[in-house]
Amino acid sequence: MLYFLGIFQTIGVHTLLGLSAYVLLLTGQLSLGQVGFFAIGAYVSGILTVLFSWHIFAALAVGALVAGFFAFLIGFPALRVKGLMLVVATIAFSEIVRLFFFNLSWRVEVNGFDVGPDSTQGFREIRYFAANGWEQTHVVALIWSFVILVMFLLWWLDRVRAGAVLRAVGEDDLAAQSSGVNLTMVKVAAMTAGGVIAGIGGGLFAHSTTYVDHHTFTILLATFAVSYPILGGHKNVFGTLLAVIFIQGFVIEGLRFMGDYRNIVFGLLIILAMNLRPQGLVDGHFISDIKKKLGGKPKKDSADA
Amino acid sequence: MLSINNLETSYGLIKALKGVSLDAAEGEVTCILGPNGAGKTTLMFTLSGIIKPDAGSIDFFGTSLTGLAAPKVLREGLALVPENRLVFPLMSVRENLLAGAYTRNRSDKDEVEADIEKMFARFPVLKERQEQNAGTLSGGEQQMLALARALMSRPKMLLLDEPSVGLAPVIVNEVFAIIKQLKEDGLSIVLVEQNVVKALEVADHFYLLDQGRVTFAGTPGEMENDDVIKRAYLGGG
Ligand SMILES: Nc1ncnc2c1ncn2[C@@H]1O[C@H](COP(=O)(O)OP(=O)(O)OP(=O)(O)O)[C@@H](O)[C@H]1O
Ligand SMILES: [Mg+2]
Repeated sequence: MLYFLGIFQTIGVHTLLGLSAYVLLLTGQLSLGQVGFFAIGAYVSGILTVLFSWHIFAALAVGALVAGFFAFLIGFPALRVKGLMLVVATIAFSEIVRLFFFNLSWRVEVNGFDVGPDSTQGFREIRYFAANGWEQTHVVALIWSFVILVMFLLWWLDRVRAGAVLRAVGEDDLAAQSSGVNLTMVKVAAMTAGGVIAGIGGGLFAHSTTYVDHHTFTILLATFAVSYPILGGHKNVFGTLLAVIFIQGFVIEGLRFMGDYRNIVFGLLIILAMNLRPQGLVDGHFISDIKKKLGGKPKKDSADA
Repeated sequence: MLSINNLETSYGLIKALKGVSLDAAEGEVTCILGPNGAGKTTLMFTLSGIIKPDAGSIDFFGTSLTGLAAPKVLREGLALVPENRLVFPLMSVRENLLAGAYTRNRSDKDEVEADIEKMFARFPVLKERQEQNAGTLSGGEQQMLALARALMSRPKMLLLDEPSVGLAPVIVNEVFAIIKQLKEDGLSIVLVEQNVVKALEVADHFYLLDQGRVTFAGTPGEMENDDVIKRAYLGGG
């Protein structure tokens, strides 16, 4: 049972990470910076609960806001770079964040113990949940409340004009501008929202695993983050969730016997998926197929036009 | 009426517009000619607020557009149809048209729907393909869609950047027929065009842009009698 709860936790946290990349992908920004925001959320909220004895909700909120603030700042220079250059720039950002925490040593005595980030040794005492009598089921419920909340907000966004504007920017930013879209505002807002979502994910991650160190926040994790919405398709948020379940539940957990070779499987899957389903697993056809199966009215396409 | 004075725009150190002045009158088609790299697209981008000018002024029906951002310019009634018929490829034709109405009030829903029907009347091919992804349309259809999308903002003046480039002659004729209709409906148009023969059918005024400067301004008659232009654009001696 504990084993499955652990997988639920991982899937929940990774879904948040994937959704943070999803928002950016909608506006056509491929970012490997999500792991940087995730790390900021993890360390900031951890520092607040451990060193300052804050309540978890306040700590998560501030962790998310700080991550969002950095994302907002990154949003402006990111406007000037596109495609591969943005990928490289965001990798650089994630590495800067990682190296900052790698060097951060902030030990404080709380209740007779030295606690806090200990540079290369990591940050090992993020035990808010255990110390406050939370059971693992509660933790899983908390994580999934956030997952559902964020998924609901993004799903709703897709139903209103703002969502269409995000997609318009992603499809062609010049055409979007000539349709009167404020490119700066949209791209920076998406970057900020992505930072906040990743920051919450990071905070939940740090508190559910009780320790983090710089190995946690490598480019591999950043690659996972963007691959979820790419594999799942950015037509809709559920694709990202399915991709996380598939990658974390099947490739990483199911193929555990393969050890590190799983990363090769992961790489191959991405290459395969990009070739076979460039629009992602959950594309327009997938959605209309499901609607047909459910007996709903299928979306009229070119064939009957 | 659009009045541009000494407009200068640069990309970093490269000056693409070196003091452009021109006027486009209400209800007329003003045509801008010029070789590749002359700065025509740069002028269109500067007018529509996509790039900011270094100097000069843009006056539109008594309002200054100088330095305004793209959404504000569009709200003032100046709409751009960018070159290369940029549509949103993964959105349906209908969604593309709705995108043209982003700057309109949300409360206009019924009017926006009515305008979409008007576009379908003007461009019947778009009606047939309204649920189809815009990326799957032919080049001519995409050009019509880009035009219709710009019209959805209910502009006072339309900026058309090379609408005929890369299209088959029959389709070029269709595009120009549409331009003529729009003009008859009273819309003011600034047309960037390389196809001088076709442009002569609709334009009331011509400007020649070369290396970021206006080198000729005149009526169609004056243009046809200008030796330089005749040689360069009309293929005669
Ligand atoms: N993004 C850019 N960065 C740097 N220089 C640019 C950029 N865009 C255009 N230029 C330069 O500005 C000048 C004018 O370009 P512009 O695209 O406005 O020409 P054009 O008249 O539209 O040409 P065409 O007929 O080929 O469309 C050219 O010398 C071009 O190289
Ligand atoms: Mg051009």
